Amino acid sequence: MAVTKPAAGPSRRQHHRVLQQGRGQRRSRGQRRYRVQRPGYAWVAPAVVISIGLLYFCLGDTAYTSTLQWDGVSPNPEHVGLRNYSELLHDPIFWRALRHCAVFLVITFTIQTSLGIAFAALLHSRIRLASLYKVIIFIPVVLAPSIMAPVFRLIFAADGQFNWVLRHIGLGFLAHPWLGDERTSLYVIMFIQVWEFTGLTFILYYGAMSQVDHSIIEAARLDGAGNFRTLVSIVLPIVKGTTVALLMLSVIGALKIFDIPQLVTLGGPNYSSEFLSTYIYRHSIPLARVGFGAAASMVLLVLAVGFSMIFARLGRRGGDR
Amino acid sequence: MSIKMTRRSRRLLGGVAVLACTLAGGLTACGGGDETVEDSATAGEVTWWGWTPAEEVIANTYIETFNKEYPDIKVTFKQVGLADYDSVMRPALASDQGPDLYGIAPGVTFGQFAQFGIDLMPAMVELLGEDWKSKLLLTAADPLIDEAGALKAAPVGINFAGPVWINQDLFDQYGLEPPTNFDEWVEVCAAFKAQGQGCYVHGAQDAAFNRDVIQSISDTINPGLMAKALAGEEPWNQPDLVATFEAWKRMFDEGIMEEGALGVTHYPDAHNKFLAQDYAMIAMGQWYGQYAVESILIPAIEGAGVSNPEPFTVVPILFPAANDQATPGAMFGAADYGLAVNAKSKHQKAATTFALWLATSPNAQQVVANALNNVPALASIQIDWEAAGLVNLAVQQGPIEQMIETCKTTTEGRGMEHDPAVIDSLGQAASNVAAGNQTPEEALEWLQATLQG
Repeated sequence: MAVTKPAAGPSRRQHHRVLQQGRGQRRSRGQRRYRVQRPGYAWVAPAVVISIGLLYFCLGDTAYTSTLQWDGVSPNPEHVGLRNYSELLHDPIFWRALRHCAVFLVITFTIQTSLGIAFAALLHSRIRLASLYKVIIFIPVVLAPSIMAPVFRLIFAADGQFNWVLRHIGLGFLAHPWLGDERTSLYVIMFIQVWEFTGLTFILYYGAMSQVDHSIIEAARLDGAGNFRTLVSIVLPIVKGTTVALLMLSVIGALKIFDIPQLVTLGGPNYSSEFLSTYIYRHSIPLARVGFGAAASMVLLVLAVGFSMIFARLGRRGGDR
Repeated sequence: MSIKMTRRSRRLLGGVAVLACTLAGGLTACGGGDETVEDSATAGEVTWWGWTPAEEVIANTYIETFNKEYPDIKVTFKQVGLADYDSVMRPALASDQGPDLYGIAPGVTFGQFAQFGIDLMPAMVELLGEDWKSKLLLTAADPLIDEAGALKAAPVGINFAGPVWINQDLFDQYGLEPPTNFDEWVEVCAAFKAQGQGCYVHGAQDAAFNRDVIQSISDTINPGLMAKALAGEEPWNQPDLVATFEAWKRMFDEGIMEEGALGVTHYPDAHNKFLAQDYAMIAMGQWYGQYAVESILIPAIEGAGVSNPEPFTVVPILFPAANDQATPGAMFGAADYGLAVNAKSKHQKAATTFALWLATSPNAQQVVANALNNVPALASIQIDWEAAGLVNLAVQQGPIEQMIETCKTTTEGRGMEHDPAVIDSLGQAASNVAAGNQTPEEALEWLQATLQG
């Protein structure tokens, strides 16, 4: 390859002038960006009203409510300052619920990601009835938890179908009241979550893997890489963005999960499957402690936003590399 | 960024604005339509929300009877599940879109929702006279009167917990006698299980129903003790309550409770299993008498998922004695519910007519009595057993009648008036003992420190 001499560039002074001009242009563009002509306000008003009205007003109102001792209807709520927060941080059930969120995140994310990658990789190879498998894997994602919860309550009841199957395949010694035992109720919730959302993980990885340049895969093959090595060393680093996005969604999901534990175990027995959201609900609605529930909601918000920022930064850092 | 408005854009924006105004105007007109309706005591449309009657067929019977006297008042009942009642009613009553009539229970529900109701005292005095309370059962009215002396809900009936209900047909089929103490109960359950038949079903996931069973156990050992402990008048960490929790634990350890009871809700899980005849016994209050009525039992069995439902004989028995020193039987309760008239209702007069008719009319209270869902508030009313339509009159009438007579003279409360956190803590202690996480002594020490410390 011939090396050519670079053309003579602009002098330092010229370069500085160009930079100044560019900054000036940027400034003037920036100034214009904020100058919305009067008729434009009508167009942006709905979005402003909705975002401020629905989101920030509610946030402010929840923050204010968190300083009250209030049952949700009384006309005379009592101002208690930060007492709800103090009580929250001293409640062992709150910390237990947070632990459950963390365990839930680690286990469900690991299993869902592994299964999602495995299914996506398998269905990218030429197998028969691939379309059918895709549908089967994805169907649980579109089924509402409220529909599936009673089904799982029946399946995992002491006299349910899961125990029936165990007894009929010679594993009767494992038969167990899965929902009625605090050692197993949390794992049933995790199982349902994995069953329900592995399809989503799969579809995201499947889409991401479709974007991988085949020439890279072929180059790896030429270098002697097998299927597993190609997946681990070539494909997974390329789809890392999907993994980070799923991790962020999983963190927020673990903090917010409500429907499955509430409908299947009510957070029990004895708070063994209590999560932050079921904890908030229990205090806000059945126990009529709306102020305390609002304080827990604010903690949930701070955690969700904090983790999102951390993972967004991690994702950007990974992308920069 | 600048937004340039062309003539076309301005026209479009103008069109959208006109459409929005038209829609808003239309909606306002729709919403405000009721304001022109005249409120009448004998005509109008009234909505009634309540967790009880749990079976809509009972509410519809009330309404049909009412319409024979007031044909121009249309009442629509909406059943709201007990578990969701507070969460549904709070925003509904706080808004202008709530029901005209709503059910209200003594205690916490009353504390929260009484403020939204009008004072029914003047109307009640006008109907029954100054001595109106003397015409009602002992516990019917007082829990529905607020601190200012206003009657915030018309008492429809009273309700008691304490008995155990059995499927007499299953007991007869297997040649078993209902248990009178825990030793017999263990034997009966073993006998049922040996035949592949479920014995006693309980939803131990529900703290409120655990409270009922534990209070029943306690009452067989020391009547009234637990009600006093709930009220803070007796300490929790005392021998008779330790014995109570030991008996509770025994129910789990010796096969009285069904396997996995801690993961089962009382409503609907345990209730449905009893109605499906998967189990022969369940602890429910006197309100379960409604399932002795064939016309109520059949749709309830269908609702429990049984096709071709066949009626069976439901009978109450005394709660078995928890130990050698105990005496069988427990009964505790108060006003079950009253009907409150929403102060924001545009049909207050019509709603008041229905509420007071159901609470005070002999015709209405007779229907209430015959449905066996409540003991009617009006003391003079007796059940018309022939009209009630029991599945097996000869077998059921005696025990149910005896139970209802006991209810009428009972003054021990069910603890509904206490902070829900008290019941939550009791539920936590009960679960911990049942799961073996705490001994009865440890759980009661914890309760003592938490609730009275």
